[in-house]
Amino acid sequence: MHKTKNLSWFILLIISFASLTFGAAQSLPTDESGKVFFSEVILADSFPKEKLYKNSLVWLNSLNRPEEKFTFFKKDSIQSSATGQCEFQVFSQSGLLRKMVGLITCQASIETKDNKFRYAFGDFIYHYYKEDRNYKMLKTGKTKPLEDKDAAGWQKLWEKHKHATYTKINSLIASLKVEIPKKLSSPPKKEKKAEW
Amino acid sequence: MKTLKTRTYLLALSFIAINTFAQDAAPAAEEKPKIVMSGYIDSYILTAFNSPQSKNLLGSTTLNGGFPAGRAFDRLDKQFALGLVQTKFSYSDKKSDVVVDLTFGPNAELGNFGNTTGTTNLWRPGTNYIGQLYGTSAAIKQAYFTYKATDKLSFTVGQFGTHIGYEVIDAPVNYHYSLSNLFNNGPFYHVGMKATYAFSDKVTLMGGLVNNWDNLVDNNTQKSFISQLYFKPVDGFNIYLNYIGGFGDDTYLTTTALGSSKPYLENYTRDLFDLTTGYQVTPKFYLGLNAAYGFYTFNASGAADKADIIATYGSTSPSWGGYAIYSNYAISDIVGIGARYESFEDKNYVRYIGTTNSSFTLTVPITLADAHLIVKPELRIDEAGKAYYEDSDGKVVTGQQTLGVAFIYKY
Repeated sequence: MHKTKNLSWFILLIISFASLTFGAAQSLPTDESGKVFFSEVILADSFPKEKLYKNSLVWLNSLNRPEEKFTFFKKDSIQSSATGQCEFQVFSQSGLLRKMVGLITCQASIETKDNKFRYAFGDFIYHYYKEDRNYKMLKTGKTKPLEDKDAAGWQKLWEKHKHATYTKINSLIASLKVEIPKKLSSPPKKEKKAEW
Repeated sequence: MKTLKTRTYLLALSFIAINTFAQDAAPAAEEKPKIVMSGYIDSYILTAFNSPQSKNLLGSTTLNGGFPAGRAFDRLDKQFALGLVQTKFSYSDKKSDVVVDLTFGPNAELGNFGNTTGTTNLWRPGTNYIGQLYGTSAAIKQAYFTYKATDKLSFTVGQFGTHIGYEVIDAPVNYHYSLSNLFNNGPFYHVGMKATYAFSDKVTLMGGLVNNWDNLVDNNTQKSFISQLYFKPVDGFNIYLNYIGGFGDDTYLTTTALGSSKPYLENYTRDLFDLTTGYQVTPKFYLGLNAAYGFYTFNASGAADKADIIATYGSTSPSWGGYAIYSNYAISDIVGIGARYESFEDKNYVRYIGTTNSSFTLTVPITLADAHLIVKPELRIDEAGKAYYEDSDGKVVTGQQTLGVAFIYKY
C-alpha cells in the first residue's frame, strides 16, 4: 500500500516536470525541405468520402472564433478536398499583462477518401503588428517565416510564438480527429399530429 | 508534516502545470470578458548645443508673456529627466470596452493641464471646493467606456485622448520622442461623448460633443463638435480626416474676457481641420503625413472692436497650422531610423508658440528585451521665424539644436 502511494507521487512528479519542461523540449515538425509541416492520414472506417468531406467543411467553418479565423480558398466536392488559410493571434506576456502582438497564418488542407482522410498544415508565417495612434494593433506588412531560428532582440518571445503554434495546431489536430469522423446527429423527427 | 507539505506542493505544481497547458490547448469557443493591464515609464537626457542659460528648451521667457512653447514635454537641458508613469487597465467583452488610463509625473501634469489648477486653466466653477473637484483628476489621462450597441455602432462616454493629430502623449506609440508643434498646439484630450459607426472595415465615421479642448470642466454651455472620417483604401494605408469646432469654445480665451470689456472674446467660433495619414509602403519603409489648419472667426460689434481685434490678432480670422512629414525605415528588428520634418505657423499667437517654426528630427530607435525596452537616440534642429530660443548668455536666438536619448520601458 505504502509502495503504491509512493509510486503515485513519483508519477505525479514526473507529469509535473514533463508539463513544465514541455515548452522547451518540443520542436515543430518539418518536411523534407525543412519547412514546418503537420500532416497525417487518419483512418475512418465505414465513412464514405462525401460524409468526411461534408464534416471537414463544418469543422473548418468552426475555426472562425475570437482570436482565430479560417478563410476558404477552394472547396472541391468532386475531389472531396478543401483548402484555405488558417490564422490565429499570438500574444506577449501572460495573465493580466497578456497582449496581442502578432498573427500566425498557415495553409490548411483536408482531403478525403472512403474510410480515410488526410490533413496538412504548412507554410507558417508570422505577421508583425504595431500599435497605431488610436491604440489599435495594425498589420505592418512585415512577415517572418516560422522556420527562422533567430529573432534578435525578441528571441524569448519568438520561441513563445513557436510554442503557441505547436500547441494550437496540435489542439486543432486533436479536434479534427474527433469531429471529422463523426456521425452528425439527425434532426429530431417531427411528431405527427393525430388527425381526428 | 514535511511529507504533507511536499505532497501539497507537488499537487499544486501539477495543477498549475496541467492547467497552463490546458488553457493554451483549449480552443476558445466564445468571447470571454478580458482584462488587460499595460503601461510604461519614460525618461530622457539631452543636451542643447545653444546651452540655454535658463536650462529650459522652451525658448526665451522674454517672449509670450513669459510662456514660450518651443517644446512640448522634453523641456530640460543637461539633466536626467523623468517623463511619466502610466498604468492602463482595459476591460472588454462582447458589448463593452472600458479604459482606465492613469498617469503620474511631470508629463502627466503637462498632458492633463486642464485637469489641474494650473495657470492655463483659469476658469473655476462657482464653488469653494476646487480641491475636491480637481484633486486627483490630473492622474486621469483617459477614463471612458464604449458601449457596442451593434457590430457597427458604438457609443463612448468619458475622458478620452483626442482624435486630432498624428502624435500622442504615449511615448511608446510615437516614433520620435520629442513631440511636434502640431501636437503641442492641438488638443490633447476631451471630456464628452461620441458615437462611431463602422460602414465597413475600410470606412468609419465618428461624431460627438465634448467640453471643448483639454477641459475637465467647461466654463459655458457651448460645447465643441468633434468628428472623424476614417478611410482605408488598402491595407497599411490609413487616412483620418478630423474636425473640432464650436462657438465660444476656448475656455482660456473666454476666461480672459471676463472684465476685459472686449465682447469679441466671447463672440467667436473656432474651427480646426486635421489630416492624419500613414502608409506602410514596404514592410520596412513607412511614410506619414499630418497637416492641420485652424482659425478663429471673431464677430466684431463695431469698428472699434474690429480695430482692436486686428491690433491684437492681426486679422478678424487669425489662423494657425502646419504640416509634418514622417518617414522611417526598419533596418532590422532591433534598429530603425526615422526622420520628421515639420513646418508650423502661429504668427498671430492664437496658440502657444506664437511664431513660425521649422524643425527636423532624426531618431534611431533601438528595441530590446522582447520589445519591452526602447532606447531612442535623437537629434532635433529647430529654426524659428524670429529670435525665439535662448543661448548661454540669455540672448534670444533663432535656432536650437538638441541631441539626446530617451529610455522607454513598456509592459
